[in-house]
Amino acid sequence: MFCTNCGKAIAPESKFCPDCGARQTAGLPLSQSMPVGPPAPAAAAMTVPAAAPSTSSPAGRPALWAGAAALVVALVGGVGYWGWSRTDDQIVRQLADEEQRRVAAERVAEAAEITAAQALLDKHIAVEEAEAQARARTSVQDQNKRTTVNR
Amino acid sequence: MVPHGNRNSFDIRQKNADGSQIVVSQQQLPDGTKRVTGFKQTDDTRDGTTTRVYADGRLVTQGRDFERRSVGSGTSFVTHRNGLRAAVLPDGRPVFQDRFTSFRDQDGRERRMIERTRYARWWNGRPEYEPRPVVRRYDVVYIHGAPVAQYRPSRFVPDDYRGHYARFAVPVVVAAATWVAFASPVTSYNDPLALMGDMQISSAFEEGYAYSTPYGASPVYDAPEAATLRSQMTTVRQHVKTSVQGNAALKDQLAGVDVQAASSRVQEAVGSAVPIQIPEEVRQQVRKQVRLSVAMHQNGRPLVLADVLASGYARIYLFQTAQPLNVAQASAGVECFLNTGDLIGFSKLPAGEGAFAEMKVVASGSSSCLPGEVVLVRLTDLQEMLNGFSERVEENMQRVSACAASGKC
Repeated sequence: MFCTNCGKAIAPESKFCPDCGARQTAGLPLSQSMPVGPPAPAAAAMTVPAAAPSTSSPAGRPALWAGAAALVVALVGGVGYWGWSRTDDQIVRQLADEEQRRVAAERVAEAAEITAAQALLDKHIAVEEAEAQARARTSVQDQNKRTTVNR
Repeated sequence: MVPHGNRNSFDIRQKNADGSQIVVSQQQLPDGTKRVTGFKQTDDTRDGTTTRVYADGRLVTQGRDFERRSVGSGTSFVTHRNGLRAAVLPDGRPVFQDRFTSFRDQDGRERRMIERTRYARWWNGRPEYEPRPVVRRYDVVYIHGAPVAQYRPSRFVPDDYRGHYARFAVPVVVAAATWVAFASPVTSYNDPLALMGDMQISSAFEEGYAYSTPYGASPVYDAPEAATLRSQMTTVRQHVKTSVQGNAALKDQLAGVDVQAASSRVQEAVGSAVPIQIPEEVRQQVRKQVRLSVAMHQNGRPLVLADVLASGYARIYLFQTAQPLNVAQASAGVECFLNTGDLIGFSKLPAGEGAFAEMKVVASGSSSCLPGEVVLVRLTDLQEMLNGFSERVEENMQRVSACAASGKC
């Protein structure tokens, strides 16, 4: 077995760790006794067989209870983390979707504004050109009149 | 040291013993590269002028009632506070000169006008003197209290316009301009207005390019003041870099002083013959504006900034820089340069009583503000750009008529 405090290998049934002197309350394997971050649901499931030994001795009962408690904490923590990370992912995704929609809407509005502006510029060109052509026609007519008068 | 908001953008200011000041600005560009610019500022208390020599050879002098800009020892452009402008060659000969004049209108009222006499125009990168000076007249208008000339086109005889609306009888062959690169190059034109549109872009960049290249025997980039400044800038940056390395607090404020950036980048930029890329949509927009300008010219109607702003198409309208300008970036306040030909559009339409507009650079030469940068431009300079656009259209109408006659341009 391993020391619950420093993790060094110690003799089975040791009450104290010969290395760090920590009291060995539960002779659980290292993987069960040391918290390893927020456990994933799969990691929590892996601890189930070890938490239910059918051949435990009366001396091992406190260790069994401690193991069970650790398992519950791990399960609750795991499920909590899973739920929290899921919520966080959802929020991030939702914000990204909203941003995408906003950018897309802005692009559509901008494209519409540009199209409208182009139409106004085209209209202005048409108006000025029509006036210019009318001016040119009048000028030709005036010139013809002058030529006729001179003749 | 004056930080600009992020660890890669800051000014380094150093006072010299003679009272002048060297300012080195390092700026991080959106693509992550660093740009280093710098100038030496000298204040003359006797005549109240402030002169800045920039590392790329530009020279800007601010006086009490004028601003003079030039690229190295090239052509100088002067804008007076009363609205008059002038341009002078390095040998002292005028390119153009404004003066106030007055005339009586049909109602007998006396009107003040600005008369601009143009002595030279640019052809193949060189000033060519007109056989007879060209005189143009401008209305004097006020934009937020600042006087500015507004070009009123003098109409040609009707026949001179007719050729611009009909396709060329024989396609006009055009030699490729080395200073611009269109997305889809054309070597011959059937449509006069398409030719005029492309010529509008290339002839203006040609002029701007001429201002950035050595004129006669006078070098531009290696003007002695600019060369000395670049050497001083390197020393200043080296000094700061050493100080930063030995000072944890300073190191935390500044990500890195780029000692190499200025000299190499400036050298690359100035006098570089890299063609200016013109996106197709920009080309098409300029063609439309030229078409409008030809028709307005025929109707004797001026291009007026207030009309553009009220038109509903201001947000797509492109302004072509008429004369070299020193402008500040809207965000960082760092200065950059707009040269003749550079195209800009509104980033935000001006509102209220502000004398400046936020303009986005659309296409620009290698020593100018970068495309995409937002810069502050005086509204009076925007009107001057409209004047320049209209005058260029007028000149190009004559050029295109000559091209049509010979079949090539």
